[in-house]
Amino acid sequence: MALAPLWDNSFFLCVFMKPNLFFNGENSDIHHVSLSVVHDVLIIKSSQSALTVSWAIEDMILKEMGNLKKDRPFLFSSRETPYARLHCFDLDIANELIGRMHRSQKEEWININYKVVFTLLILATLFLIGLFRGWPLFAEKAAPYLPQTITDYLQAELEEDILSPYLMCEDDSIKKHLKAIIKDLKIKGFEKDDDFEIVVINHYNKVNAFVLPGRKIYVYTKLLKQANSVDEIANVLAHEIGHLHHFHTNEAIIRELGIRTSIQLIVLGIGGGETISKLGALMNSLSYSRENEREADAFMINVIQKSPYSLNGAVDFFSKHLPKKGKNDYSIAWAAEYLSTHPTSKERIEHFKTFTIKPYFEQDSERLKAIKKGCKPLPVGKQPIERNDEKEKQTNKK
Amino acid sequence: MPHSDQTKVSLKKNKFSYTGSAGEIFKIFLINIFLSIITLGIYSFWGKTKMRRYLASVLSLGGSRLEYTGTGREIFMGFIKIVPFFIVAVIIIAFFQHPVLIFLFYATLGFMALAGAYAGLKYKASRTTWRGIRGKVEGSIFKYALFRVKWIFLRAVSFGFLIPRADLRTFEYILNKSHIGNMPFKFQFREESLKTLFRKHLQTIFFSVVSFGAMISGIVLIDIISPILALPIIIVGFLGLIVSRVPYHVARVHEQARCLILGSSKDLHFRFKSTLSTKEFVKFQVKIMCLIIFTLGLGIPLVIHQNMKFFVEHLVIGGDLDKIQIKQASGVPEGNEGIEDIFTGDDGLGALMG
Repeated sequence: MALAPLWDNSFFLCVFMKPNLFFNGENSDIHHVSLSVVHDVLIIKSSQSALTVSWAIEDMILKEMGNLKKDRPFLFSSRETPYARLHCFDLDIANELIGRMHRSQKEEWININYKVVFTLLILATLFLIGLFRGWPLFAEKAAPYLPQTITDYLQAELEEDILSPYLMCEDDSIKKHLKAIIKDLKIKGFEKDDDFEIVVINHYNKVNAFVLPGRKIYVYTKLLKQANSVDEIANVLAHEIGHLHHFHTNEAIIRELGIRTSIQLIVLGIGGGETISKLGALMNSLSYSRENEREADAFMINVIQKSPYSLNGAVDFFSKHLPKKGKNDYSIAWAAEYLSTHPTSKERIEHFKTFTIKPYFEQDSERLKAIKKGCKPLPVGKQPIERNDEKEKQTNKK
Repeated sequence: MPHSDQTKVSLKKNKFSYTGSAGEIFKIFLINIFLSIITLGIYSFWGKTKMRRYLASVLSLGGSRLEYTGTGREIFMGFIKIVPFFIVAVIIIAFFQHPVLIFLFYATLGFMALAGAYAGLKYKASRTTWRGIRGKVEGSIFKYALFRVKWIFLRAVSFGFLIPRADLRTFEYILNKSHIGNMPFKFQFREESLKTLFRKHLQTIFFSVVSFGAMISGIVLIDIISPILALPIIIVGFLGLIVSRVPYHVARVHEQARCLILGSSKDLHFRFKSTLSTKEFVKFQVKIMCLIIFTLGLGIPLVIHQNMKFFVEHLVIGGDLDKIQIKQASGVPEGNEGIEDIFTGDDGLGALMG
């Protein structure tokens, strides 16, 4: 019978390898243990005491311990005793255990992250679809039901936050003329002076007009100055009232508010308080969808065709906004227009021309001259002292 | 019970061992950012857990590594629970702009932030184990928030003179409710420590006033003498203002460690000592600032790594770890850290030590 060699591998392993440690999860005692695998069970036996523990390999979990390095033990636990830990320095046993374990038992990075990331990606996709497809649909349906208190609040926010840097036109005659034009359109709910309000903003750099839910129509002086006919102004006003009629502003508010608040809450992990508290700024960047613009155009065409005014006004207005050929930025301007949320000016003009267009109703009239002459700004005491460049930029964006 | 005075007791010195690598932290950091972006931030809860697990696993004491057993799911669920309350509160505030409501909203927010910080601490303690024994911080999060509100108020009405007392009392409040398994921490409030801190606090006030004065003088002197001569005065004043608080901070860490005892047995207890010096702390802070500024934030993993090393280097634990006998903490582990995650959200050392 051959004698077993005195200096076998196990001797070296015992001398140079750190002992496996076991903690029973009930107290902090350290148990130096030897390990052996019998069938599907790991036998943990203490070299100092009578402690012997058996763990079924199918119940064992490999705990994640950062990046596995040579001096790092593999850390195992068992579902039966969640706080008991085996610090295994024996690489052979560790590899055998890991090899026998089910994938779900290995709390390794790659396993956990595949599952989590895949689920999260699906959730994120669903969230995005819901936010950018489902939410706008909800906004469209909910728009007519936005409470009056909210629309009043938005109105006040806007006036305070956005319009304060600009000088309001004091000239009542312009407002009277504009109101008369609107009354000529014979739109239900806009027949009397008290039904709505006109605000003329002294702004000479931007052609713009917009409405808010509180039945206030805002018109920039540059838009009035560059008008070639009263018909042009009538068309613009009819278009803006079209937005009010279809509750597009409400829809845009609900849509933008929901999208921004959700993104802030989820992505940044902070409250949407800032978004809501700065509704004025939000209003400034609101935009209507292409569908909204088409609806407002349809409303405008319907109203104008029944009124004395001509659709030529709309054709004129949008012709001024066609990108100018021959300019260096020609292609960029076209691209910008194409990417815009509005239908392109060319598209709109072509659409208007499909209708029977009446001749101009009012060109070169005294009324047009009075509207175009501009207006006196507010008295010195009522004017804002400084113009807020940031707010101005935001308004320009719109 | 061990004595609170400075009777010289020979205790075996232990230190935490940190074997983490900046590269590994960097890898986890980058993966977390990438996955958080593509999952619209939802992964960040799992990412945070990933980082905490790594940092715990590379810290060891007495040859045994720490382990973080928290999960991303727990934190995510905490977040989900809190969000509806927050949305409702914000909507109420937005549409009923009443000053009383706004005040109540911000007061509640502040209160919840304090409560949330304690909730986070309880959560992290319950999810960190050493030798299979988990930590535990007891007490109600709302009582803690009330306690903090009381001291914030007292600090304010005393024009800051009660800051040292408030700092020590807050630390005392938390530590006296903290355990490792069944072994309690005991913070013994010492008037001597308070006096030391108060002296440092007065020094801070004095140096702050002098530095602020220098800075203002520099600004005034720009027009009187040349800007070239005034600029160094402004810079010195500004730096003085930043550094003036450091000696107090270092003294506070020393005194907090000095007053702390782990274990209630006279034979077996552990004491703590900080070896932090003002010079080292200033050097470290400058290094951290440079790391963040010059790497445009990409050096954050390096900052976490340096933070861990710095913490480990300067904390000495006196006591025989081989003889330590701790039983598992009673009760079930605390819930998730929902509120804390919204208001604070920390990583690195803070994640482990709360």
